[in-house]
Amino acid sequence: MSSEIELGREIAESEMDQDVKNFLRHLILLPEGELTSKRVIELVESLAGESK
Amino acid sequence: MKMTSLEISNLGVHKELKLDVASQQNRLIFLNGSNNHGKTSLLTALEFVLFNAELSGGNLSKLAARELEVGGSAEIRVRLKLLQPNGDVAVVTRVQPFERTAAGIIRPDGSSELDVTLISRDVTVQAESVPRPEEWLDSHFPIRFKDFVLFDGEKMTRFFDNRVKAAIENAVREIARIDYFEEVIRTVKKAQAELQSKQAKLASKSAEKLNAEIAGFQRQLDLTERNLETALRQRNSLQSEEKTLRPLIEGLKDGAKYLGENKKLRDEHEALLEEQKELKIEFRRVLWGAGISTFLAGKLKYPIEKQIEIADKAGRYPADFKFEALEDVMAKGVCICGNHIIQGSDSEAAIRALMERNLSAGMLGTELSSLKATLDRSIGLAQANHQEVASLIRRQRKVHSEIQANLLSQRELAPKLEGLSLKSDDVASILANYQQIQRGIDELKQTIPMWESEQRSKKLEISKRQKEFEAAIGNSASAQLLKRQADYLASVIAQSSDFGQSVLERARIRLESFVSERFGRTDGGRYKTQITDEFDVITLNQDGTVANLSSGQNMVKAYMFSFALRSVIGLSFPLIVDTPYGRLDEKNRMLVAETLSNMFKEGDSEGQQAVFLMHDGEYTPWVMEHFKDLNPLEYYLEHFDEEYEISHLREGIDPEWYKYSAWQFYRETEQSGGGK
Repeated sequence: MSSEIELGREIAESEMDQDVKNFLRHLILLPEGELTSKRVIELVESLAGESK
Repeated sequence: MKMTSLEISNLGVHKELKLDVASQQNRLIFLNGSNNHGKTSLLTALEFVLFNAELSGGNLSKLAARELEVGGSAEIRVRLKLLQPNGDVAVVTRVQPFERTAAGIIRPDGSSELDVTLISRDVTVQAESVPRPEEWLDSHFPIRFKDFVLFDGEKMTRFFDNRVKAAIENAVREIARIDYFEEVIRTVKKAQAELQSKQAKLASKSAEKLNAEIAGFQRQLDLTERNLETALRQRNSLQSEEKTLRPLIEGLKDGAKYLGENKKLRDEHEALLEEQKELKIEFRRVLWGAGISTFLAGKLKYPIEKQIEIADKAGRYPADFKFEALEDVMAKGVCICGNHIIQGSDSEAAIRALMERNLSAGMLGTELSSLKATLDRSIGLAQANHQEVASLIRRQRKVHSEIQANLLSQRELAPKLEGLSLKSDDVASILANYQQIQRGIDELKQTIPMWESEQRSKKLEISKRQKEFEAAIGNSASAQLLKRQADYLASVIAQSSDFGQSVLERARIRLESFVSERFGRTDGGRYKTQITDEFDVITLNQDGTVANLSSGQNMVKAYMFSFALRSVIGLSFPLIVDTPYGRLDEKNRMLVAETLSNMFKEGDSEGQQAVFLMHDGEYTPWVMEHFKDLNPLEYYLEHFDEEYEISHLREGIDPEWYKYSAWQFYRETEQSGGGK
């Protein structure tokens, strides 16, 4: 939805660290009903996997 | 997004109403109708289909109600077709079933049912129902924006009062998707807690215990922070209210003082007038009571004294002289000393001459003396009365001058009382409300530090246990990995803490800029609109002072804001307004009509559709003239069945309206070549 894209743009323009920005943008663009703590943990695990 | 058709079944006076504008590209639709012809039912239908407004048995049309038997069913159905910007069509249908109870009462039978079917512009794609229609509807017509979709013109002039502030704040939060972002962060916090719990399970019993304690303190901290946030919001809201009210209160305090002074002066004036009246009565009483004779005696005193003086000079007898005794002496010819008075002697002649000469003077003198004594008494009395009269006169003069001074004070006070329409009682009530706000702020000044102290204490407890927990979880690779993941989420939470506020601020500025620029343009840049941190929408003059807008200008501002909101938020729902000119007078109505038509002509409405529901009192030929170039679609509601109160929708202007002088005149001038 356009407002989520707008929020994503706001995050991109914020002063947060780049990886935090990416992480949050991932979360806000999740399809409806997929925003769960399980999904957040999966995302943080995949980040840990990438950094290995 | 444009409404292309509206169908209503069994709602109010609408047995079967169908509006179909799909083939036309007009952005303005006028749905006119005299009172009781079904405009409100149209609005109810839109409120029902878009925002699930609750319906009652009374909403069912009379005809459907009559046909509904016990055990039978009837339904109100509203179907709205919306053309979306991508060319697809959404068909929104909401149905509310009704039943008649054994007691004969008609009531809703369960909740309403909603269906949203999407019809693609690509004819090869089959139309399909949206799986979660309520969510689809809420994402296109958020309930928070209900007041910005369905407007009530009657309320538009008061659109920006305190009641709307919360709605505007909500709107801005919606624009910024703050609530959604906060939900994201809440989920991240939950994930962080779950990771910590996993760590604890991997480690010793003591680590698990510590983690449980941390979770417990965290829950307490969350509660404390919520309380603190509520208290801070309350304080900000009260402070904002206090700030808004302060200039008014200052004015009211002065006003109350002036009203008090004025009342006191008027009371004094009345009392003085009464005193003056009593003094006049007293004056007359004293004057007349002492007798006009006293007054005349005063006037006669001098001439009488003069006469006595003359009589004295003429040798009058003293007051106690016995003239009869002298006459007796003369008649007997013997004096009291024994000597004979010889007749014909010089002595006798001298005595007789003396008697004759003083006879009248003596009598007059006696009378005069008696009169003088009376006069002296009267004058004495008059002098005493004179003192009283003089005192009365002095008091009268004093009262008179006090009355004059009082009138002068009243005249000096008059300009301060100008425009002070409130009564003393209203002022007292507003002042009481203000004092209550101040008390609220004072109480929160004590509560907030308490929550802050509690917050610090809980954070300290958590931090202490966190260190112990870290030491207890050991150095296993799995525990360390979980720790790193939890720490990462903690850094996400920390970095995003101020993000919501900054986004909110940016959205507020964008909205403010839009409204200010558009509204400023309507008045040649005379005004600047600000949306303050407290979400007050204020209009300023060029010199920074708050502009005093007319009711028409306030309404224009409300329309501007509504369009700005649609533009900034990126949602293009139509603007539907019941009685778009409210109770505006003709001059302000023209201002609003002109501004709105210009907005549509110049594209400030951002391609949005507007539906105006107008009654005969507000849709006049002069209003129509403003929109003529925009070629609006005009419909009217015809009431054709008095018994069952059924209305039909027809195109054009209600022929009944041509009986009114304005439309009659308009038609006649049109027929005679536009009145030229």
